[in-house]
Amino acid sequence: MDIRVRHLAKEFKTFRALHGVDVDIASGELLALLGPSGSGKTTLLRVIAGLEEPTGGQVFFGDVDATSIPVRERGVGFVFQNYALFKHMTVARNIAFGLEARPRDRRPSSTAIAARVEELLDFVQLSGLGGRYPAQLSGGQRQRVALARALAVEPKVLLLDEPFGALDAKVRKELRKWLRIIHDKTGLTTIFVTHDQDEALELADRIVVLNKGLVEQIGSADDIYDRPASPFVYDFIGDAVGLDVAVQDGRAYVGNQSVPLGILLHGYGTGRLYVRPHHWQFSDAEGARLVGTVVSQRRSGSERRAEVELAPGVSFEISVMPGQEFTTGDRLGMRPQRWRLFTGDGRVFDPTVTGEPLDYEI
Amino acid sequence: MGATIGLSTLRRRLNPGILPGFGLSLGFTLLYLGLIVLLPLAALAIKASGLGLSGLWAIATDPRVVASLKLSFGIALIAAGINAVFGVIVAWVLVRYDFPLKRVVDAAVDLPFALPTAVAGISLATLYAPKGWLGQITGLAGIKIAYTPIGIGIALVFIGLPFVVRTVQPVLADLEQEIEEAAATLGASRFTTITRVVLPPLIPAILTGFALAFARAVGEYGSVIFIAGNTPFVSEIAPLLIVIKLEGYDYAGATGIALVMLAISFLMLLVINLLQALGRRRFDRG
Repeated sequence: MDIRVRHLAKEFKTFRALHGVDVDIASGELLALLGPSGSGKTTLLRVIAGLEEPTGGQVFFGDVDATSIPVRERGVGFVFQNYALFKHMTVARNIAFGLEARPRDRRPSSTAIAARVEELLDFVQLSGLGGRYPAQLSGGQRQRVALARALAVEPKVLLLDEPFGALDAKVRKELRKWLRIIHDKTGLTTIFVTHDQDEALELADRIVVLNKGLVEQIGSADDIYDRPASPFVYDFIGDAVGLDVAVQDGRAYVGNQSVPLGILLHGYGTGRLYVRPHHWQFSDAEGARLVGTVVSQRRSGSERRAEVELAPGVSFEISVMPGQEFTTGDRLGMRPQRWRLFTGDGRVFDPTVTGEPLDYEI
Repeated sequence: MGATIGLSTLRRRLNPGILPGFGLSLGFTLLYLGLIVLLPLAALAIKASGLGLSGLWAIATDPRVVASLKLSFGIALIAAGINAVFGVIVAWVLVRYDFPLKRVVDAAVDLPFALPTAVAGISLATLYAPKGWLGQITGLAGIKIAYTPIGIGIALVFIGLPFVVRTVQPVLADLEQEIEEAAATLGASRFTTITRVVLPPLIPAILTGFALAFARAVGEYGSVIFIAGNTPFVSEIAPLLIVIKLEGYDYAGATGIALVMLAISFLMLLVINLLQALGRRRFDRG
């Protein structure tokens, strides 16, 4: 089932959660909605589910306008961050709920329901736990029950709202891999909400980055990480330094130092130059146009980082490659290998994107 | 010496954990319960024991006493049942919806607690009397309320309402609304959602409220006697019969009825508690 979201808007009493969002989701795709809190990602998911009524725009399931179809007829499987299991029912009854709640003429026989429950318990690797109550399960197990319950009614679409948000890091990683397997096995169109970029980058076919109710970028993990469409995406995904620069005749100026951009920008303008920590090249300070001073060094997981100061008040982190040794106080000649420039008038320049003409007016 | 060892062994066996003050607070609890609750009840039992078993039996089987007990317990049960249903609805409205003057409505629920029961009784009697505002209307339909068992029921519903509302309200407020959304995404109708998802977790609280309303209604005196009419065998409640006996200086007879009431109440509350324990076993595992 493919889903099209058109000009979707949602206003709450005091706050606008979505300002006209358009997203196309292909059938069988695993899509992540990524954004900081308040970006509208959960609202978007809930509107697609029918748990929230939009104030404008439409949601299409296939060719059908689903906007006014009530939740219980929309055929979506929804998984909540806090599981929302029925605590007074056993695991098996929880999973059977959707089937047992059907009107008599569409309800499977009780033996068929029991068989389906067993099958699903097996599918989510909880065989033998059907008689337990939710309170007797771990967080990861509860979320798997919630997923089995959602799958029991054979939904057309699977929607997950921060499904691993309440779990600890290790369980989270396991469930992440496992969700990918579930998705591949069921072939369902799946949309999940997350604020964890690693989760989105690792798991999803495509990612929708949302900010303040607007779509900032839609694309694959590579698109989002290597070719961020906006300063927001650069700031939000991965590490990067954004330098406020003045641009003149093919060079970006930070204070009185400058970086050659390798493309000709005629005229004068301002912008923001983004460079990832591991995209800096170093040389002797002697004769370099951009010189920074190593202020401090630290270790972050597998990587070493150094804090470099370009000018008073302008400092940022760079990655220190294996074999490189810096001492605090060293002066380094610096040059970005890869970068993106967002000009004040909203244009993007990136020399690594092929087919870019090399002559611009700014 | 032996006593000290015994006490420390006992203490270990009771395993009060590392929270200090166990001995002191348990001692206070027992003393307090003893003075406030058990002592008067013991006095009651001692006083009634003067009757002997045969005397007690004679009182318990006296037709007028039996009629009054049936009336008291029967109507108290019905009233508590009515409150269990409508109290849940009131609690639901107060928790789930926002409306003007919600705080006023919320506060009004407590009025039956705050009002002197005699005042409630007199106002109800005035309202429902054949010439009263409401009594006139029901009179047209041929229904007499004041001075009949229906009047007693209305008084008992009035005084019992806050118990159910106040016990159900916080539990309902704590209930995640997401479980209702989950039920909706699974295709459940609103009716199925209410009966199979929302109500079951509320049952322990509803039972507690029911038990409290029932216990209060059984012993209620002040608000009932004004509206009841107090006709023997028809609308005479057991507490009134106790007062009548006391006024006739028949203390043994009064305590006899009291003891029978106590026994029945105790049994019924025990049953309700057992039901709740069963419910708890299901809900709060792990």
